[in-house]
Formats: sequence, structure tokens, C-alpha cells
Amino acid sequence: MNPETGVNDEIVLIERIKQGERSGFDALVRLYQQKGLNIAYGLVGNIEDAKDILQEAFVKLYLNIAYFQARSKFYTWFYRIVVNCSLDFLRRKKRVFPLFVRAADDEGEGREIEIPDSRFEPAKMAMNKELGRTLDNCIASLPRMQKTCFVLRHQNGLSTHEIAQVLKCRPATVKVHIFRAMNNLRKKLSGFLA
Amino acid sequence: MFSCIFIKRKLYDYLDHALSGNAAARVRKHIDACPACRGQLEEMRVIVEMAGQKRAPEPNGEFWHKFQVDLDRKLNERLVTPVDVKKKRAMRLVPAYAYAGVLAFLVIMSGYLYPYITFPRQDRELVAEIISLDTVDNEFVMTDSEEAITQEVNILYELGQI
Repeated sequence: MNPETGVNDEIVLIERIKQGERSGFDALVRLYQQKGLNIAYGLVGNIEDAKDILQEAFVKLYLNIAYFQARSKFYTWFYRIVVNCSLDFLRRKKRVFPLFVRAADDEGEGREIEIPDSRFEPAKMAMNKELGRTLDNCIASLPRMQKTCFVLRHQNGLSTHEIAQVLKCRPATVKVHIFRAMNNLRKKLSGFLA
Repeated sequence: MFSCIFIKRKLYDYLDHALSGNAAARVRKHIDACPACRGQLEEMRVIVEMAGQKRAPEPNGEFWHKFQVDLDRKLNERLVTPVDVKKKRAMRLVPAYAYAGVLAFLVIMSGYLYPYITFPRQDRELVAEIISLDTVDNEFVMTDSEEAITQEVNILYELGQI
């Protein structure tokens, strides 16, 4: 669901959450869970970590919803929480993207199953698997702000102005970060792109 | 080509459809004539397309059900145990207390060991002092003037030797 649609519903939900209604919170979670997962996944590159980050973001949202004054759009406020949680996670943990991600199955907490990371689905790999994998690693190795701006712009489809609102900076700054990210990626991928 | 320098700065905006019609037309005209800039634009296009294909998986309902259950549990834990936050803050201070303890130990130990420590600098100072005393002594012996004898007598008088 597009975050910009149903703004009135959002406002109603937020008011319900402020009054302590958990059902309103559950509805808001359902509204934003996939979008939040996309952002967290783009930044950390792992579905299990992205899930944990998103849960932390929703907890923070619930605990701090009283501070949301509706001066900005709700989705930029929520995306900021997700981005901050993701960056905190990356600060704590330097991660190398695995080919497979681990996910606990439904029957046993201790037993784990391996599911293929969607980035390495055969259809996508057929196009240019080596370039795709290297690109993922290169994006992961970008400086923090360059990576955040690039991922929000090109993997989550936010405009420069929306990213500026999420990161609380000027649109020109976002443009500079994306421009530098692009140049860095070109340099790192020069062997593949030539 | 001189204009490449200016065009290359606009290539990303051109790719992102962020240029005005006039500016975009100028870039397009240049690209048609310049293989280097065309190549760079193509590289950017590949990167943007490949990056856009990396999407988070769209999990099924079961994943989201488990997600919701875990989220409820985490939220309840946070809501019913506000003391944990204070504990976490206290835990953050533990390294600071440890560093302070180690520092205090080192200060106490250094104070205890100080009398047993010989510093090379003190040796140098001692040698310099001996040399200066020798010099004064030599000067004192060599000067056999009345003034020097008076000075010596005065010193001995002050020391109570006479």
C-alpha cells in the first residue's frame, strides 16, 4: 500500500494508538510492515536481521508515538525510525552478506532451515549473477549516508525530497550523497562494467 | 572534449529525469556525439537497474503472523519492565567504572613504587649538580683575593664553624 494513500485512516490510527488502543497499532503495523521490511533489508541485506530491526522500529514507534505531532508526514517519521534502527544495527555488527539466510521453522525453535536469499534467485542470477552479487557487496561497503540515500532512492523508490525529510537534511545534500555513491559504485564495478 | 567535464556532472540527473527539458536536450545531444560520456551513462543505467532489482522478499502470511507474535512479546516486555531501561543504562556505565578502577589502581601502585624507581633524568641532574659544585669549588680555591677570603669567613661564620 502506498503510504500516501489513506492519510486520514493513518491519522485516526495514530490517535487511537495515542489513546492506548493496541488494535490501532496492529492495524498500523499491517499497513507499514512490508515497506519497513524493504528499507531495513536494503540496508542490512538479511531478512532475519531486517525482521528484528523492523520489530525494534515498531516498538520505538509505539513508545514514542506521543511525540509525533503530525508536522511531517507519518511515513517519513516512521522511515526515519527504521533507518536509524538499521544504522544502529550496522554500527554494532559488521556484516558480510551470506548466500543463504537462516530462518527458524515453525515447529522447532532450535531447528533452523536454510532458505535462499531472494537476491540470488535463479531468474535474477541468470541476468548477471556475478555483477549482482558484487553490486550488493559494493552497496554494503559504501559510506553510511551514501548507502542510505542510494538504497532509499533506488531500492525503495523515495524521491530526493522524501529522503531529505526522512534524514532531516537538504535535498541538495541527498543528491550529493547519491552522486558520490554512484561514482563509488562505478569505480568499484569498473571491472564488470567495462 | 572540454564540455565532457560539465556534462558528466549532469549525467546522473539526466538518468534520474531530474533535468529541465532544455538541459536534458543539451546532454542528449552531447551523448550522441561522445562515446565516453555515453559509456558512463550506460554504466550508471546498469547500476540503477541492477540495484532496483534487489527487493526484499515478500513473505507469506505465516511469516507476518510470527512477526506480529514476536512484536507483541517484545512490546509487552518493554511496557511491563521499564526498570530494564535503567538497568541497560547502568550496564552502559560498567566499562567506565572498570576503566576508573584500573586507573585508580595504577595511580596507587605508582605512588607506592615511586621511592624505588630511579629515573635517568635524576642521574643527569645529579651529574650536572656535581659538575657545577666542582666549578664553584675550583673558582673558590683559585681566587685568592681578599674579597674571596672574606666571603669564605662569612660563610663559615654563618655556619657556626667559627
